[in-house]
Amino acid sequence: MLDAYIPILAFFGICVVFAAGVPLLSAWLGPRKPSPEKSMPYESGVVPQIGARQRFSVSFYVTAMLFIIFDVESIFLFPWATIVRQLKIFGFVEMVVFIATLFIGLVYVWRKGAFRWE
Amino acid sequence: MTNIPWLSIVIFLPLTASLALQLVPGRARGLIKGLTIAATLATAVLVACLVANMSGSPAQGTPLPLHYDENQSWIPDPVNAHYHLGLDGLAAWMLALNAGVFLLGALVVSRRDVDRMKLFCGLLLLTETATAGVILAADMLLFYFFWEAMLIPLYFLLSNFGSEKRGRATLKFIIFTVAGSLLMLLAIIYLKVNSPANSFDLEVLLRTPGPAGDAVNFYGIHLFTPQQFAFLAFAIAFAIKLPLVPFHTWLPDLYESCPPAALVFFAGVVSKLGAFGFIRYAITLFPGPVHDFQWLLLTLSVITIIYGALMALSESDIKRIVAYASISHLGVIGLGIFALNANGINGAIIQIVNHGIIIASLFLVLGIIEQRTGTRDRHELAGLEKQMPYLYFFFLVITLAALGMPGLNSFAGEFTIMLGAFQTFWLLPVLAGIGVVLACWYMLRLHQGLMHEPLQPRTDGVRDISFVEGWVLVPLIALMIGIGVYPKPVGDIANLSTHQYVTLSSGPDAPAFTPIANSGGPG
Amino acid sequence: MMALLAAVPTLTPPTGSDIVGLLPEVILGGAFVILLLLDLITPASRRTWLAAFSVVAIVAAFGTTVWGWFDAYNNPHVHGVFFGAFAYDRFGLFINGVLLTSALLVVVISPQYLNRRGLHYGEYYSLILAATTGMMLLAGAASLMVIFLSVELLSISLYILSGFSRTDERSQEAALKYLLLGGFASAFLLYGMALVYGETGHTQLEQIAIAIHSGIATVDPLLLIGVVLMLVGFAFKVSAAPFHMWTPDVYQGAPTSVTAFMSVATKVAAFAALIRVFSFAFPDLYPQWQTAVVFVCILSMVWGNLAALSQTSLKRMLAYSGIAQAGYILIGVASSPHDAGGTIGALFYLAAYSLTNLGAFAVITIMSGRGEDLDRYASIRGLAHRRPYVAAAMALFMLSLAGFPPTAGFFGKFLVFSAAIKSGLMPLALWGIATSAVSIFYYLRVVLLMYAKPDADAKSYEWSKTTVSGGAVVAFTTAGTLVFGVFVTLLYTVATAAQQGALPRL
Repeated sequence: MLDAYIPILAFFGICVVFAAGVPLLSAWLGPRKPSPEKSMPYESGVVPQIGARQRFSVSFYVTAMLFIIFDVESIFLFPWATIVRQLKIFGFVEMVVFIATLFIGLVYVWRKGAFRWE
Repeated sequence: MTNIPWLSIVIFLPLTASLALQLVPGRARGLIKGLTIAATLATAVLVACLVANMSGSPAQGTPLPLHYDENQSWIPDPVNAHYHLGLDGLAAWMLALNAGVFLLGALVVSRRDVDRMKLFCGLLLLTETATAGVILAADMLLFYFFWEAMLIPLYFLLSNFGSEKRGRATLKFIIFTVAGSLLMLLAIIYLKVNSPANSFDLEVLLRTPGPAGDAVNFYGIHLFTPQQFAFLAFAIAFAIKLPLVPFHTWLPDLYESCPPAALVFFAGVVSKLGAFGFIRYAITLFPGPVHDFQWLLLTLSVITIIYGALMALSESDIKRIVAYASISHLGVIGLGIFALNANGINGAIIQIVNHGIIIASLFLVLGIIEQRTGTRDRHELAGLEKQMPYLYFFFLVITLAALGMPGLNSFAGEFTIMLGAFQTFWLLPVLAGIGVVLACWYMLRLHQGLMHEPLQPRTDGVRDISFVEGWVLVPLIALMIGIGVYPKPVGDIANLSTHQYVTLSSGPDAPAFTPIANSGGPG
Repeated sequence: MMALLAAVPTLTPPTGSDIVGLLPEVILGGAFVILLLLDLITPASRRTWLAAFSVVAIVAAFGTTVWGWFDAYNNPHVHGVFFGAFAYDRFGLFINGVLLTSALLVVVISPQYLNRRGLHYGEYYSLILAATTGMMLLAGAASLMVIFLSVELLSISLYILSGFSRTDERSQEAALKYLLLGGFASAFLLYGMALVYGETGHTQLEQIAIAIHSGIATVDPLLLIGVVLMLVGFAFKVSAAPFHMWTPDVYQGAPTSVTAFMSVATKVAAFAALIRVFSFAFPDLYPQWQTAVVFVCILSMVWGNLAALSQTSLKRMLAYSGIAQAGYILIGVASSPHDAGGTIGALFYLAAYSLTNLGAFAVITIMSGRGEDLDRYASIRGLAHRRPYVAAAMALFMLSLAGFPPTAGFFGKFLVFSAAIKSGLMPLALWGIATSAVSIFYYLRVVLLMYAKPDADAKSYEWSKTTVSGGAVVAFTTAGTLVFGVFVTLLYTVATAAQQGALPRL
């Protein structure tokens, strides 16, 4: 049964060899002439003013999380919609419970200040 | 009368008193003392009545006839453990000793200025409950329950009130004991699982023993049978408590660091429970294996006798001397048990109690000396005779009793044991005799050194024992002389059980069991 | 695709009795969500109200559990509820009872401790309730899917709880470590489930057992690997060696009340699932999994006890002791194919361990100083002289963990050893007693320290005053430890009924 997967294994092997081999080859064969300008962080040609290691707001993270929550909601809603008539009142109640729970979560993060963008 | 659970009352009266103590404020020392003495005294009186009324014939048709039988289910069927209590000749003896020694302990506490009196008295009473439970239990699991539970109050007593070295000594004692008992727990479970009756009840196990099983095959080497292993587990547990020689190392350290009041009942009863366990459980449940290992155990007993005596000679700390003397004397009890005949076991039962009385009074006297002079070094103590004439007298009687003087209590027991040992093999009493001779040496040396010799700075101006201390010692001395002069009643009570234990230890091939109520005194 | 669509019309909605089977979980899960809202409208100074609300919810769930104990017996759902995804039986309800008791005790001791440590936030109670819900679902789960979901529910709640002290580096370290290793273990568990599903074609434990028994699924290496991987996942959750590495750091770093909760409740719930899966899904594979369980069992007993010897912090010592205790409970699991006493013993042990260990942690919790836990050995020296009752209770818990009568811990050990001997696993019993003897060293060391004379020149520690709630929890656990140690039958008969009522059975 596992024999069928041998080509995939071989494919993985080739990938690894190729992925590791090319950088190694370039490191080995390529010429290296480092200068201060070259080893500077690249910021669209502008000379960096301050160090690259800085704290930055994690609002991206909150946005991403909120997106996932509502994304998952819609993923559940689609298949539910296809059989909602067969599930009758039970299916309806189930989905109300689900959305209510999500809604409480939304209220919670709202009140906790997840949507303030400072 | 039969409907009142007397034995349960004996067990739980001290426990109740201990709980009641918690309601008393810690400052009220007089009340605490009074309550403790009252509880132990009530227990002792009750035990005395029970033992005195025991002569009537108990339930028949059982290998171990028990008086005041109490039997109730404790844990239901698959486990099948019972709350089963009963009194036989051996247990009656032990119980009397137990009650007496704890009463003594309570009296001694009241004589001393013990820090945190309430804790001490509470733990003393808890220990009494546990030891009484060990003695009265007729169910293996119940027995083990009390056997292990006993360690808890003892542990707190030792770790709270002992001398500086107590930490190590206590831990050593607990680890030794628990390691042995845990092996015994496995053996107990094995016995129950192996028995067709599937019960923890001692009577049931004696009536329907399981098969011995085939020798355990360990990579081609045939070791012992499971039953022999189970016996060894029991033997190790009891040999540690007794103690027999390779398992004895906890005892001297512990006695040395033990608070004097606790030492009275520790040496008096707790270490006797090893001998009790051997007679009650090890030799009866394993009649086959006990004969297989008889020579090993006899040899160990003889080694214990001689080794204890030699160590007693080499020590200079008076408490350690008596501790080793105690080991030597317990070896004599072991010798009697493993002789596996009527005289040996009878002597051992008598000697358990005799030794309990002697060792308790010895430690009492030494405790008084230590308290007065502040030292335990034999070389710093001398010339107490003139300072303490009353103590001199008491100490003399106790010393003579300890070395087995005829006319004092120890003689009857030791003589009977030697007789039994002789019946098993003639050389045994000869070897054990060495121990007895050495006992004369170290006990008399101790007595003379402490009492005669010129005064030392430490012993100058020491007060004699007080009136109350004297009255604590008088009944003990009276018992020593009384039992020594007229040992028959003692032998009678021991005899109630001796024959059944002898019968049980000779296994299923022995002649049918016949209860013998009164068959004359020992020797 | 056609087959799928055709299957739809036969889909009948769950009936009312199905929901009854989940009533305790529904109550607690609902309370968890409502608590989140309540937290928003509760002023910061009144957060004890949230604890009170949690107590009400837990008591209500406990009430329905007790009611279910009789209902499940009178109206048995032989194939479980919710299409066999959840077993509504006395086994799960017994575990529910233990879990709810633990949660209740933890919630009661928490407000005082959290206030002192400056951690009193409302989310704490929500998360405790969420974790308990997950654990209860795990205890009743009869399908691989439900098992995995509930493991995740309880784990994620606990990850957050163990990092609850946001300014404490050790707490953060604990949370991160727990999260990473926990995720790893979940992956093992899931991989094992996938292999089992692949081999048998079912996720319901009953159907898996039938497939293996009837030979539809051949016993081939892949199935066995699946079984072993699931064992690894559970062994991680019960913190059995060699999957215990997270335990000491997490137990030490997490706030003590959280440690108290997870040291007990996680173990109980994961053991329930372990027993259910291995006894009911793989009864025919026991020769194979028994070997693995015996290996984990011996390793846990040896490693846990030896490592506990050298600890100098109570929380770390209790962590290693918990590893060792998991080993003893595994003795019962290993014996369960031969003797029903194995499962009964494990259940008894779990209940006894919960009471005792929770009591021990409750003592550390209620003793804690301002802003720090006083869990170093040095800080409990001489405790008995200033707090005699608390110290006596702690001593009792240590003795129970060491297995001395008259405590419940003794009978736990006795029952699992009995089962091992009855099933012919004598070596396991011998390892058990050898390591028990070792364990006495470190348990008694704590007692010795508490009763030692306090050093005159030592820094005096500011032990907190014992409050009514803290004292009540310690008194309750003390009483439980003693009562179940003397009147063993009370707990034993319930554990027996739980074992006999376990569903689905073949």
